[in-house]
Formats: sequence, structure tokens, C-alpha cells
Amino acid sequence: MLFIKHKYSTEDLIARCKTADRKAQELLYKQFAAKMMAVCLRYATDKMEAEDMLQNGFIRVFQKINDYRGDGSFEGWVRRIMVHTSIEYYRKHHKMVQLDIEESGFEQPVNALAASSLEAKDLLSLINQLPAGYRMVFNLYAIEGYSHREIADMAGITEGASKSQLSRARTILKQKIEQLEGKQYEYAG
Amino acid sequence: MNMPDKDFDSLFRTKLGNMEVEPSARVWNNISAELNGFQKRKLSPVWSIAATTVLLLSAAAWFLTDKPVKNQQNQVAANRKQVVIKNQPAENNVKTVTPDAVEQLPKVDVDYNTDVNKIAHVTRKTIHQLNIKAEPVKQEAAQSVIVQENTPMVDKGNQQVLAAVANQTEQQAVVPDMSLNNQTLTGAAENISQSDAIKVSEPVMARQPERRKKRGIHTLGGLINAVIATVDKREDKIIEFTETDDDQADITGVNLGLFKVKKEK
Repeated sequence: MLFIKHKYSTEDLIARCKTADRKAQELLYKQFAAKMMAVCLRYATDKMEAEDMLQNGFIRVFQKINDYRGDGSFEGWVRRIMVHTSIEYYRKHHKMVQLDIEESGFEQPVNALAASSLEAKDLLSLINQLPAGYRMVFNLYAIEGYSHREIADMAGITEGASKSQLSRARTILKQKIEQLEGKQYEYAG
Repeated sequence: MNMPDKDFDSLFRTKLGNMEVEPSARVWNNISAELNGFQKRKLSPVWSIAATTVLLLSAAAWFLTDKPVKNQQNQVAANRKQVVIKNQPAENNVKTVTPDAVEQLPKVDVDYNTDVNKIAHVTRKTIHQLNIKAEPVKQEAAQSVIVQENTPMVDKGNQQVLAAVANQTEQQAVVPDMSLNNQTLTGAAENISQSDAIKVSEPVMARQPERRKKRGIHTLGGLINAVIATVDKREDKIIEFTETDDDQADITGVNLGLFKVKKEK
């Protein structure tokens, strides 16, 4: 990896990828694959699904690389493609859960210290366990930083549905964290 | 302690935002394979256009090369008509087929591969053979067997005209061929009566569809036969269809090497 970074800059690789240079495509893929795999994992139920998303995403990256004009970071551009590909994958393979849940009055109390002590892979595991629709909205809003209006456009749902699904996702996640905390106390006791 | 939503979200964002997970090697292999396929697919319209062009050109070539043959035959027919009309007033020049001539004609087997002189010779010979005086017969019968000695085309002696005349000879030779099968003609006396002449014209009409077969494709069966003939050079094709004008194309012959079936036409 280090060797690759020294030899070719990302800009060089992008330029070569624009001429469909297969070696450059492979090097560029290797440079971003692990980061993008983590993105896809958040949208997927399991690793297999995430790899399918990653594959589709990179094919699109190489097909559309001539559209990248160098405005903004390349990583951000690739990430957006991954997110869009993941949503598309989700819409193709999962039935959209359209739930109109009332804004839940009951908020699960979460111990901030306990939550922050959770490892990234534990949090990822919690996200993976969410129903697909909740998972997608939570990812887009909480991690990617899209607004409800943007999520509604991207996912083809209403803003209201986006809001209620986010709320429901948070509630489920908090419940799960509480359970984990309880277990931790049990182990400690 | 209750955690606000904002903090809750940012906990996930910070912890998962910088996460890296190595995908398995199959992902790149699949991407690479798919990109190869994509590049091939990008080329495919070019190939399909090229293939279509070749197909159209070959079809055009096939039809264009077929046309002159038709024209030539039409011209021969036209020439023949003209000549007949021309010769009608001059009764002396119109010779009719006598039984003697009938017997001699089948020998005239024109080989198109022989050189022009040979054809010319054969043609002249044929004309000479036919130049035997006999009683004129009814015009319908006469039209199908007319050969004239003083056709200007023969005198010119150029290759095309000779070929055309040779064609004419062949077509006329059909009549005696048929006539031989006709009992009335073989045993006929020198004077051919009117009723006999009509009988001669009947088999001539019966031969029409077979003649047409040589000129071009008119039916689906004919089209299939023509296509098969370009591939299968054997006398009995792998499959043969009728070439009648009916909409239905019936199978008249099958040849699978060991297994052969052929209906009599």
C-alpha cells in the first residue's frame, strides 16, 4: 500500500483510469476498497451483501470516472457513489418498510460512557441488526449527514417516513446498547 | 444519563466514519471481469452494424446478380416473340417440326461450357436440321417450336447473341422431348392435323411450372431450396420442398446420407 502511494498519486491514477487503464483501476480500487467496504457494510445485512454493493459501486466509479472534474475530494465522490449504489441495491433487494410510527414519547436512557466504550465493530453489528429501512435512514442521516428532504429524494420515501424511521432506528439502537450494558454489569458483578 | 440524539448520532459517526474493512479478493476479480464485459458491450453496436451491413450487401449482391439472368431470359422471350411476329407474313421462312426433325433434335445437347464456336456450330446445325420443309401447322403449336433460319442475331455471331440463340434452342428442344412422349406425334404422318397440333401444345403448357423454377424464386419452398442449394451441393439435398404457387410448402425429399426419401415430382 505504501509502495503504491509513493509511486502513483491519486491524481495520476484517476487520469490513467480515465483511459480505462486496467492496472490503474486496480491500484485505485486497492487504495479505497477497505474504506468503502466499511461504508457498504453499514448499509448491508452481512458481508456478502456489502461486497456485492462494493462491486457494483466500483464498477460505476470506473464507468463514470470521466465525470469527476476534480471538484471536491475524490474520496467524497467515491463515497457518494457507494451510498447511492447501496440504496439502489437495497431498493432492489429489500421491500421498503413504510411505517408511520408516532413519535415515540418513550426514550430509552443510554449511558454515554457505556456507549462510547463500545467498539466500532459492535456498533456496526447493532446497525446490521436493524430492519433494512431503518438502517438506511439512520446511516444517511446520522453518519452521512443528509437532511430528511435529501433522504426522501434518494430513497424514494416521504420526509415523514424518513423522520419516523430515524426515530425508530435510534430507539432500537438505544435498547440494544442498554442490553449490552446490562450484560456488562452482569459480567462485572 | 440520557444521551441527546445529536451526541448519539455523532458517536456512531466518529466510531464508524474512519472504519476500514478489507473486502475479499473475489470483489476485484468480479469488477475486472465486469469491466471487460462492459468494454466488449461498448463495442458490440459497432459489430452489429458491421454484421448488418455485410448481410444487406450480400443480400443485395445476390439479388442483383440474379437479375441479369432473368433479364436475359426475358430478352430471349421478347426476341422470340418479335421474330415470330416478323416471320409471320413470310410463311416460307417459318419451318415446322416434322417427325424426322423431332428424332434428331434430342441429340442437340447444348453444353454451355463449350466455347463459342462450338455453340455456334451446334446452333447452326440445329437450324439446318430444322430446315426441312413440311406442312405448316396451326399457329399455337408453331409458336412453341418455331426456329427461323434468317434471324439476324445468328449472322452477327457475337457471343451474347449466340448464347441467347443457344438458350432458345434449348427451350425449343423441350418441345420435341415432350413430343416424343406424345404418342400422337411419334407415329404421325407428314401431315400434322390441327387436332394433333393442339395436343402438342398441351404438354408444352404442362411443362411451364418447371421452366419457371429455373428463372427465380417465387415461393417459400423455392427460397428454402435455393438457400439449401448454396450449402448442400449434392443432387438430392438434405431437404427439398415443393415450388408450386400454393402457399403451403410441402417436403418432397429428405437426404440424411444413409436415409433418403424422395417423392416423385
